[in-house]
Amino acid sequence: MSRGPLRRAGQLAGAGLMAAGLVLAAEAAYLPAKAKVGQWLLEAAWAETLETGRPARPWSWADVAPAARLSAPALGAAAVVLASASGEAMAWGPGHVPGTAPLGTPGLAAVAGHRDTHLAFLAKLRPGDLLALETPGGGVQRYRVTRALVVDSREWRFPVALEGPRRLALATCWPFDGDEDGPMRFVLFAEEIAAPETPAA
Amino acid sequence: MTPRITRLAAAFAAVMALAQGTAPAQQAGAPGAAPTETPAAAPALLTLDDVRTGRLMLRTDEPGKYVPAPLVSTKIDMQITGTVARATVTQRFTNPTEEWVEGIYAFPLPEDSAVDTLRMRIGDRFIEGEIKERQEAKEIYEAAKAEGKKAALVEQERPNLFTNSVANIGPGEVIVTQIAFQQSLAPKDGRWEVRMPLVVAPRYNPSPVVQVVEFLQDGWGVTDPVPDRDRIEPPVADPRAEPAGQMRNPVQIDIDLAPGFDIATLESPSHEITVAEPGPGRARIALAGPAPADRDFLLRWAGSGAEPQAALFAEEKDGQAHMLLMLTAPELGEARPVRPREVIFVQDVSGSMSGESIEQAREGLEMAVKRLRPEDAFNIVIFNDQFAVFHDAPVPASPENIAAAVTAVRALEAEGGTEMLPALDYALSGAPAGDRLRQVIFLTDGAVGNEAQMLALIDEKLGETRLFTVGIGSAPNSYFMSRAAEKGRGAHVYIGDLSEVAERMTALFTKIETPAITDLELRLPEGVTAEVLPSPLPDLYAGEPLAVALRGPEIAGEAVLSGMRGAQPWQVRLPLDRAAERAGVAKLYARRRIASLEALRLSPAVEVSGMERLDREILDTALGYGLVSRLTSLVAVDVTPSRPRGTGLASAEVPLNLPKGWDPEAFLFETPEAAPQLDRAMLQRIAPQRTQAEAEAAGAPVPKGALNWRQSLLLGLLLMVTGLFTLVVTRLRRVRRPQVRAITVTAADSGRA
Repeated sequence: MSRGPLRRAGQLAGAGLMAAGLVLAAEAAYLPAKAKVGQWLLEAAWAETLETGRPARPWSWADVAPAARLSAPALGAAAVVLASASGEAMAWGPGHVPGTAPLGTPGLAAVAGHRDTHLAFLAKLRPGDLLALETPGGGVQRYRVTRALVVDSREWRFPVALEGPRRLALATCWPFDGDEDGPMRFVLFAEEIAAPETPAA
Repeated sequence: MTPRITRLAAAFAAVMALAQGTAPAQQAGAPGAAPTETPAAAPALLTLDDVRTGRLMLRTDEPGKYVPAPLVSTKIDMQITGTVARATVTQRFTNPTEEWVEGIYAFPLPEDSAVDTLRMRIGDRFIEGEIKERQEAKEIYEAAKAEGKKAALVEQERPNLFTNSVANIGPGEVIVTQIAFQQSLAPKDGRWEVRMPLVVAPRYNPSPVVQVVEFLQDGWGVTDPVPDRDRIEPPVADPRAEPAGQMRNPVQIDIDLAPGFDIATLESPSHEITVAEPGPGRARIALAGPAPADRDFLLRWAGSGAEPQAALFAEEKDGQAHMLLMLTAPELGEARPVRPREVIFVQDVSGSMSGESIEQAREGLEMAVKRLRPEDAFNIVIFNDQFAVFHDAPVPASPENIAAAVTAVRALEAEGGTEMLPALDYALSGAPAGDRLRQVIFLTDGAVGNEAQMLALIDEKLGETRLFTVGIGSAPNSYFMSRAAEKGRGAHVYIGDLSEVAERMTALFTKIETPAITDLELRLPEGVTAEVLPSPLPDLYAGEPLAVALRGPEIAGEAVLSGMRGAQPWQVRLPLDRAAERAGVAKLYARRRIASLEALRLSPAVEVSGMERLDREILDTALGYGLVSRLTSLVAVDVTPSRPRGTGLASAEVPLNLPKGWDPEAFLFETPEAAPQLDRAMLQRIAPQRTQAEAEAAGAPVPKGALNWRQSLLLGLLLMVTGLFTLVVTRLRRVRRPQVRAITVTAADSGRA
C-alpha cells in the first residue's frame, strides 16, 4: 500500500484543522478587538461630549452614547461608560444599569461590564483604592472602594437608592478567570470621598 | 449619467468598500446578532423599541429586555358620531409562569388620540386609573409594587405609543386591560377615514448596517451585493415567530358608525368586514372574523356628495365653553394652475421601504415626475443612510430630463438605514430660480425615531418652501408624516396599497396644483374672547379639512373665517350658537392644546425657561382634562395587598361589584382560540417579582458581564497548531505509516474537544 493517499488525507485534515482553528480564533479575537476599538472611538466621542455638553455618537451609525468615564488612576485603567447595559452595548463598553441612580447623582449608580475586557481591572482593586468618575455635568468625582461582594444574579438585585451619598456598584461576571456563563457576579462598591483631598484653589 | 451622480457613486463605492471590511462588526453590533453570544436556541427577547403590536411584556433578568406574554385576544369597540370617535381597546392576557411577575403592556394608538381611561381586571380584582403627574404616578406605582399590591401605570412613550405597567400579577392569573380614548375625524378629499394602528412599524435605530450602493449607467440604482442581508438588517423580532407559531394576536373590531349623513360608500381597504345597517345614516361594522394584528385597520366612508361641508360641536366643562369646528375647503370653480413650480422629490429608499412599499413609491414618483409641466423645474433626492441627488441643481422639466428621471426612478431599490436629516436639510436649503413656487415632496414610511430633530429642522429651514408628505406602506408613522406636513405648511396623503397609488397621487396633485387658501383668520364676534387652536391657522389645500378648537368663558354670536384664495378674498360665516352638544369635545380640545404646546416646545427659538413654562401649561392642561401626556400618567392601585391564589375571600362576589359604567360583557368576551403557551426557555428568562420585597431584591438585576472569548481563542489557536503540525509531518518524505495514523487520530480527538 502506498503512502500517497494517507499523506493526502493527512494534508487535508491538517488544512481543515488550520482553517477551522483560524475561523474560531478570529471570531474569538474579534470580541476583545471590538471592545478595544469601541473604547478608542468612545474616548473621542467622550471628548466631544465634554466639549459640547451633548452626548456625541462614537460613530455615525452608533446606537450607543457615552454617559461617563470611569478610571482607576493607580492602575492606569479607564473605560468610557455607556448609557445602556444591554448585551449589544456592553460589547463596546461597560454600561449604566437602568433602574439605578444616574451616574454622578446621589444614590447608588450601577455599572456592568465584561470581566474579560473593559472591567478586567476590577480584579486588581482593593478596599481603599481610588476611582474617578467623570460625567458631562458633574465634573470629576472621586470614589473610594469600600467592599466587594460575590452574588448570585438569580437572587440578588442592585439596591434601589436614589438619594443619600453618591455610591457606585461595578459588576462583572465571577470568577474573573472563568470561561463559562454562570449566575455568579462580582460587585464592587465604592463611595464618594466627601471632601476633596486636594483643597480647591 | 450626470457628473454629480458619478462622483457620488464613486464616493459611495469607496465608503461602502470600507464599510464592507467591517462586516463582522455589523453583525455583532446588531442587537441579538452577536454570533458567539447568542446561541440559536436562546429565546429571543424584545426591547420596547421592538414592540409592534399591543402586547404585555414580562420583565426578564436582562435590563430593558422582555418576554412577550401570550396574548389571548384583543377587542376594539368604537363609536363614531359625526366627527368624534371614541374607542375602547380591551385585551386579555395570562401570566404563564408559576411566579408573581411584573408586566409592561405596550400599545400603539392613533397619534391624535386623547387617552383618558384605564381599567383593569387582574385575577379577581378590578381597578380604575387616576391621572397624576408622571413622576408622582411612578412613585405611587413603585410604592404599591414594593408593598405587594396590584398596580397599573399608563405612560406615554411617544404620542402614538403608550405603555401600561402592571405589578404583582399572580401565577396563572388572567389580566384584562381596557384603555379608552377619543379622536376627532375629518373628511379628506371627500371621504372619511379612521385608522386604528394595530402595528407599530419597526423604527430605524441607527445601528450598524452595511450596504453597498452601486449606481447604474442609465441613472441611479441601488443594488445589494451583501449576501447575508437579512442577518445585518436592524433586527426586529417578529413576535409571531417566537416562540414558533404561538404568538398569534387575534383582533376583533366592532364599530358603530353614525356619520350624520347617509352613507354612500363604506369599505375597509385593509380587512374583510361585515356591515349591518340598522337604519339610514347608521352602520355597524365588524371584522369578518378574528384577524391577526399585522397591519393597521382602516375604514373609509363617504356620503353621496350632498353631506354637509362643516360641523360644529360644543361641550361645557368647568364653566368654559369648548368647541370643535370642522370645515372642508370648498371647490371654487375650476382649478387654475399656480405659478411655475420647482419641485424637489425626496425619496426614502431605506430598508424599511423594501417590498411593496418601494413599488408604490416608484409608481407614485414616476406619476409625479410625468405630471410636471415644461415650465417647471425639478430634482430628485434619494436617501437611506447616505443620500444622492439626481442633478446638482434643479433642472427644467423637459421631455428628455423627465424620461431620464423615469428610467432612474424605475431602478430604485430599498435597503439600508434611514438617515433622513441630511436629505431633508438638502431639500429645504436653496432658493428657487425666478418666481417659482418651491415645493418639497417627501415620500417615506417615516420609520425613524428622531422625529423631534426632523420637525425642528423643518421649522428652521422652511422659509417660502412648502413640504408635502406621502405616507407609504401598511403602517406608516402617521404622527411624523402629519406633523411634518403641518410644520411644512403643506399637506399629506397616504398610500396604503399599490392599487391606490394613482388615486392618492392625483389627490396630492390637486392640492399641489391649485392655490391654497392662505392667511386664514378666525374673527370672533365682538365681546367674545376665546383661545383658538391651532394658532396660526394653517394654509388650506383643496380637499383638506380644517379643524379648529376653541375655548372661552362664553362663545356665542357669528364668527367669520376669512382668507385669500390666490389673489381672491374668501370668507365663511359661522353661527356659533348653532353648535350641537357632544361629549368628548373638551378632551379633544385639550389634546390639541397639548399637541400645539409640544410643537412650540420643539421650535428652536424656545429657551430653557420657555420650555419650563410650556411644560407647566402642558401639565395643567393634561391634569385638568384627565389626559395621558408626556408629563402625566394614569395610575391605579389596588387597596389590599395581593395574596396567594386560593385564599381569596370574595372572588365570587366581584361581578356584583363591577364599577358603574363598566361593560361586563367587554371583560368576558369569547376568545377565538385557546391560550397559547410560552416555551420553557422563555419562561426561565422571566424575572420573578418578590411581593414580600426585601430591600436588596427589589432593585435592578445584574447583567451578564463576560464575553468568554479566551477559551474560544485558545481552542482556535490549538486547532491551528495541530493542523500545522499535521501538515508539516505529512510533508516529510520519510514519514512512516504508524506515525501518520497516530497523528491523524490526535487531530480527530482535538477536533472533538
